[in-house]
Amino acid sequence: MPLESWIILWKCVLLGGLGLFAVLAIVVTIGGARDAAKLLRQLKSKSAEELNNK
Amino acid sequence: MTESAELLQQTNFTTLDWVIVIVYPLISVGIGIYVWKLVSNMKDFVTAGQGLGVCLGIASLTGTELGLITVMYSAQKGFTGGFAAFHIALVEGMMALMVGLTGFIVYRLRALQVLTIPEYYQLRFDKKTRVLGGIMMALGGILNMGLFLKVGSMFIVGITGLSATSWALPTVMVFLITLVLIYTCLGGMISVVLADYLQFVVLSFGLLLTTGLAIWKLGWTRIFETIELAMGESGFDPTNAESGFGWDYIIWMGFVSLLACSVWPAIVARALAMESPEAVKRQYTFASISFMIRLLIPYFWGICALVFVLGDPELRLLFFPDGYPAPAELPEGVVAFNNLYGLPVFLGRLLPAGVIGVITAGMIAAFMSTHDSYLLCWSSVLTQDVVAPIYENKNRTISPRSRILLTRFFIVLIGLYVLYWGLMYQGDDDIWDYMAVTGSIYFSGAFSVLLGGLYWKRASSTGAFLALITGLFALAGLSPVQDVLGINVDSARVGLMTIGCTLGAMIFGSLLFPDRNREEEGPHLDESERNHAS
Repeated sequence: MPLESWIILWKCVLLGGLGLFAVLAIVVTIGGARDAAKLLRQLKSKSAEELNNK
Repeated sequence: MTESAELLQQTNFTTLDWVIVIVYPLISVGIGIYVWKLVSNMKDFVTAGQGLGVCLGIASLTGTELGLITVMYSAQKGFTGGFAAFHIALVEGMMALMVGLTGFIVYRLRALQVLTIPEYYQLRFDKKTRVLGGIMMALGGILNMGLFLKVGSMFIVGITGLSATSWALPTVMVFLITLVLIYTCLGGMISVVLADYLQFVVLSFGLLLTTGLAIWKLGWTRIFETIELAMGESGFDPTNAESGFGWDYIIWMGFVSLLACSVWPAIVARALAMESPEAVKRQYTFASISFMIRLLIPYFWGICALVFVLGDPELRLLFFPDGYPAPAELPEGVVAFNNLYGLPVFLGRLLPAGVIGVITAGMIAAFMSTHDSYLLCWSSVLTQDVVAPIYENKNRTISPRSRILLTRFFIVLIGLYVLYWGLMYQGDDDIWDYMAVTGSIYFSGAFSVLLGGLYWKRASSTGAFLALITGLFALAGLSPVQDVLGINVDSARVGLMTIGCTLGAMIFGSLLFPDRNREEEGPHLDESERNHAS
């Protein structure tokens, strides 16, 4: 493959990768906060349940 | 003060940045303390109760694999290999996507509800395979993380301008490992995934911001033109043997990426912590972008660091005292500055005050999240898959509390080893190649065992045992071992041959020594043994 094609390929990979990652970062930041809250709620209720059982 | 010391102290790091850098890791310790009382059993400690949603799973997977060590070794590859190194990122992203779309290995593992990979070995084969698998995994993994602490600390002292002082590196190493040990011991996987999430948020936006600043400062066109001028075609074409890569290397990277995604325990631990097997597939599919980016951006930063160094006469002389490209061997008495410092020195001058603190804090978080994940992974394997199967029988069991205590003991022990290895190790190996070789001690054997166990009915315990042992051939890829053996073979070739040998061992071992009574016996892990874990 000629040098120019490699340069274009890597430019596309870099810009495309950055764009996709920017979208992913926003989605995961919002969704991850929701998941983390849910996980803590589950663990807290489980912990309280175990305490009651004792 | 020497001229080079003065050069290295030129950084935009201010008191404000120091405050950010010190406060940020304490938040992680706070998380560890907060969740401490929520951990009641080994399942919570090792897999966060198998309750991770897809987004938190992606953040955690990215947080684990986007470590400071990743940034440093990737930047080193970009610094030395130019844009040709991008092929590794592209291949890794494609392999993660393939695993996500097909569920290759990870889907079935999660469906079996095992906590660790060696636990599956016992379920499918027998106890001795589980113990050997646990030992091989811990051996390869602990060797693999041997340089994490030192290289991560090099980043901190480089970016803060402390690299010229002799006390800075060991002090930073001791401080960091102490912090990591405290909060990993406290909260296990729950504190790990929450810290991973925090890291994901800080670092992902930090990565994008820093990349934008680097392009703005150096110029988009200038970056490509400088690499073309300095490296020629080999700076872009990875198939060109002069690039330092070539076809052998590309194929080897394909295997390394596939194996890392599908059988590397620190990654698979995130899959096993997901709420369902379907969620695992979605996690990998979306995280394939992160898998690519975690390498791509640091490569680009390394390239930018090279462009920056080449454009600064004083730094150019420091890193390339005998001119660029550096000759294979420097004249006697001439010493080049370690190219691992290229990135931190560049970032120390590129980023403005305040931003540099946030980025450094994000990197420290990345450093900590990789360490905690790996420490937790290897220590839980030693507890669950080596000590417990050997110790326990019909009359003796280890209580869940004792298992957690033992796991915490191993965490501290491995942490001390990492500190010792980082302080004592003086080798000058390429960090990425060192990691690929040490990692393959475990994953080349594990790949064959999991592949055979999950997809081939005739796979036997003898075949699995032989495949795991054969993984030790990968050690021949390390240059000190090659010196002892008197051979000189490319490490990529050794890695590929090792994978071939483990597959051969699995196939021939299974055909020659089948498990004749397996169908009558059923799974080797009985219900009571599985319940001990939770």
